[in-house]
Amino acid sequence: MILCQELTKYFDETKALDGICVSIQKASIYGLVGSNGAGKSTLMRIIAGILQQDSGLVTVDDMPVWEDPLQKSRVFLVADEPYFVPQATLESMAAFYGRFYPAFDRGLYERLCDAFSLPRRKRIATFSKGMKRQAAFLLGMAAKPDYLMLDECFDGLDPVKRQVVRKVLSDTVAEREMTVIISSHNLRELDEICDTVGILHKGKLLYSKDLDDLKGEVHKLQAVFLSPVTEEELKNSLEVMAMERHGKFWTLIVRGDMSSVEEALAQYEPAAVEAYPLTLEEVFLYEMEVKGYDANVIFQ
Amino acid sequence: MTPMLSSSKLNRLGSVYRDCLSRYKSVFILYAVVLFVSGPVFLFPEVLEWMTYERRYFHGLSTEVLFHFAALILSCLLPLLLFTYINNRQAVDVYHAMPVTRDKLYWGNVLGGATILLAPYLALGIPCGIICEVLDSGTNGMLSRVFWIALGMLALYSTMVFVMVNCGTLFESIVYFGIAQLAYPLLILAVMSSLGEFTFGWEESIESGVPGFLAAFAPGYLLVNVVFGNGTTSWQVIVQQAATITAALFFGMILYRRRRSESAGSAFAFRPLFYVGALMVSITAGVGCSLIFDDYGGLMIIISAIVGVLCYFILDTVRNRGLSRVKETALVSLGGVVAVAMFYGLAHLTGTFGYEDHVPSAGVKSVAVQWNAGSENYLSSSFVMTDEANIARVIEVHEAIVENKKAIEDFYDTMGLDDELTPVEDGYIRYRFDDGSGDGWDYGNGRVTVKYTMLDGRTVSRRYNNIPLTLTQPLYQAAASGEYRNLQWIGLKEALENGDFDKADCWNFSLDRSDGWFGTDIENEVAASLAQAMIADLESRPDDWNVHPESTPISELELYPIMETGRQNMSNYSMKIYERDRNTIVWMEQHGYAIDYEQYISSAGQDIISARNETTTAVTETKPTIDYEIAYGTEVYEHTIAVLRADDRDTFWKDCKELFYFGGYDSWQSDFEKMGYNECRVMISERELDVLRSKASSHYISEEPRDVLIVDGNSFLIYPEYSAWMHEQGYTLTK
Repeated sequence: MILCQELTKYFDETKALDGICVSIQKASIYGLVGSNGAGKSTLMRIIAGILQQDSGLVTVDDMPVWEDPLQKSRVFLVADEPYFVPQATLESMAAFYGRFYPAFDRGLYERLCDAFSLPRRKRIATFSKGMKRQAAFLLGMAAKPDYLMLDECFDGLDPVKRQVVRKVLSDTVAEREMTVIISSHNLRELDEICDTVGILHKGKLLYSKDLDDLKGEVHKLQAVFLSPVTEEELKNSLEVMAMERHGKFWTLIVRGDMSSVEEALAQYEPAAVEAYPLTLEEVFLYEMEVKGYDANVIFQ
Repeated sequence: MTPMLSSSKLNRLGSVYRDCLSRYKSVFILYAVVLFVSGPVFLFPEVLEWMTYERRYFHGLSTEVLFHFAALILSCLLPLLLFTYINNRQAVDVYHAMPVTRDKLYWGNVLGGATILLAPYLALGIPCGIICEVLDSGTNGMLSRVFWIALGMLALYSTMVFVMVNCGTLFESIVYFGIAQLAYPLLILAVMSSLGEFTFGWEESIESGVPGFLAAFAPGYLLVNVVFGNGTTSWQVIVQQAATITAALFFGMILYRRRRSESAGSAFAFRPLFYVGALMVSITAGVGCSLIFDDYGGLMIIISAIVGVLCYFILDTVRNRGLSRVKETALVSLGGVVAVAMFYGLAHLTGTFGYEDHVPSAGVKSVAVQWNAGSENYLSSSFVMTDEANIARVIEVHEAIVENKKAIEDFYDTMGLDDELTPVEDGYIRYRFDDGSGDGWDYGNGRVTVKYTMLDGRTVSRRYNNIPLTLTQPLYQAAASGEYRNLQWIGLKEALENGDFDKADCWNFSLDRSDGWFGTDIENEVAASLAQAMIADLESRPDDWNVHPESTPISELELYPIMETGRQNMSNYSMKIYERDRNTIVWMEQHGYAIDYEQYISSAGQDIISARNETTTAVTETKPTIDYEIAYGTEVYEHTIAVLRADDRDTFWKDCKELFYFGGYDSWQSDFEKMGYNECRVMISERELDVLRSKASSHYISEEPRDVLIVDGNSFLIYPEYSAWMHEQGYTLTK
């Protein structure tokens, strides 16, 4: 388990992480989402032992990671901009990682190379963006870490390769209880694969919940009110995140338990109420809108 | 779940080390090839030629410079390659995420780089050096240069590593490495030179004293000494360089541990290096300007401050990538100017922190004095004196100089120094010196350079110009002491005993005569016999032989070896010749190098009268000034001779052939009139003039009033044994 308690990190005067408290369970796939500059990569780098927090605690299975080679050998970060040694090939990078990660699995590396159809002896500098991401991913997998962090790993991959990545991750989590933390702006991908999601905004962790629970807390309702209803009345009765009205047709995004919402709506005698499932992306957008991070606010 | 791994399989220095060697394999190969080609490949034909032509002369490794140069270049570049990852955010994510501690990561790369750097250099350089030494009879020096340069390489390498750890970009790393190598020694040089401008007795070079000690920490110092010096260096410099290497690597490790990964791409990971480097550049530039513009007085200070502030401003703006911190920059600049001003102010007030007044009065092991007046070297610093009496004499003179500091410093502005001085010993007040407007090279004032070696190994050096000779009487005693004379000939004696005269191909022998220096080359055997004569004369000088008129040298002799390659491995030998040095003088005559003095001594006084021109006006007692015409072909030259009968005030200290003037170059005639003397003019031939001059000496000091011969404004003291003869010939001055 990865545990962060009151984690704070500054870059000069900028507070990148502000009192983050999060617990990431073992053998799960944790999705880390957030606005640009929210602190996702910073959090991952602290967990990987690359950056040191200014205050707070970060532990992996109750042991700090910073300057602990044993703990570090169990954590692997595939960064958003993967780095390879100059003039390196996949083979030389495999040798590089094999030198430092005792669990590096040569067989797994070769299987993954075949799966992704990547040439092993060609210079990585000649790879496309997507191929580089695949290379970074398979090297990370071959290191057989207990905790794998993927920063924007789906970016640049074609749909088939995305499926391959999802399959590899799912299988590995199931087989050896690896824990995966994925950061991505492609919330549809995360929606399909993640068990738990954390939403970061301006260095603060807004939510860290089971995905189903998160979705279960936010509802999209379409209702028709025959009698007049004002926006204020609805906002007073419900925790409204967003609201649209077209004549008598209301579209409401509300937070709360569904039965409580229905009960609150009943007082206004709606002619009809329909609930629609929300995707993770929609949940994210509405959550950000509440925080003022909305396209209509940013660009008017 | 992956099984827990024991920590013994992780975090191995060897893994990092091997990784480093593996990653830079191509660099290693290329470097080794360059060294191999510039070393053994080019040496092979030289060896072949040496073996083929029956061990003829060995020319050495012609590409030795390239061999060392390639290694030195890589010393600076390799850390840029090894540690470039810490300036790249993506690379840092990989390296600092690895299950390796910072220490292992640091040392693995440092040691890997050192191996790449030194292994081929030593593996190829040592055998080449041995071969060169063997073929060149041990005089080649390449083997020792390999070791010294290897040390210099490590020093450059380690300082570049340290700079890389401190900086966040490649640009800053290169710039501040350059600053560290250049600005540091230049700062020492600039501060030292500027202090020397106003410090009485300043004699500090970047090769000695505190400046030398500080400069010896710089890698460039060792390399310059080895490359441009005599190919070797002292143990102290080696220790200091080792300290530089150790400190750079050790503190580099400490800083690397603390370095924040997010500092990659920022100008500096640790700002102190910037402040140190920028202030070094600024102070060097400012102080350097003060030396260039020292004629501008107060304006110089303003210009220097502006230049210094400007340099700091530019560097700080580059560091901040803009003008975002102008206020902080301005404050630091102002602080720097104030600090420098306070430093120099304090230095001025305290006599450069006590430097000016310091005279080592105890704990002196030896002393070497270079004492020059005019073109005469009365004491040479080649001869180091350890006798307590001589050390005491030197200290006495030194204390007298310091006591009269103000008068000596003001000498350029005041006429006559005697009244201002505190003489060393009463009785020498009678020595009067002319106004001398030079820097001590003329009119008898001397330059005294003293170097003390203390019992604790320190050296203390001072240099004083324009030192009136009235203060230097004890130095005469030192020059005439048994110890000094022994030192003069001991080198010769050792050279003879060691057979050094056989090692030179020939010797250059120079003799100072009245018509100038005469020089010629002589064979080893001839030089050896001359040296024998010189030693015999030096050994025969009595212990109580002190400064008196008879000790005036009549000539000076120099002997130094010429090797075929032009290099001299032995010092030259010099000796002043006195009338008593019969062995040397006879040797000169026998070999046809007679000193002028000898020729004239045997001349008869009657020749003067018989050779006198018919048109010559007879000298009368009332006509002390002599004009003469010399007929030379169809041209006639006119000269003036005056002969004075000196009184107490007219006794001179003579300095080579260009002597004091009585009251100045052309003013002696008016001085005659003031003193009530009458002019005397007589026509004599050049031969007669030569005879007259043979009775006088250009090297003379007298405690008694003597007659003075003035020819064309040049003054000569008449030897005491010829005073009567001068009067008999009518060359007298009367009132």
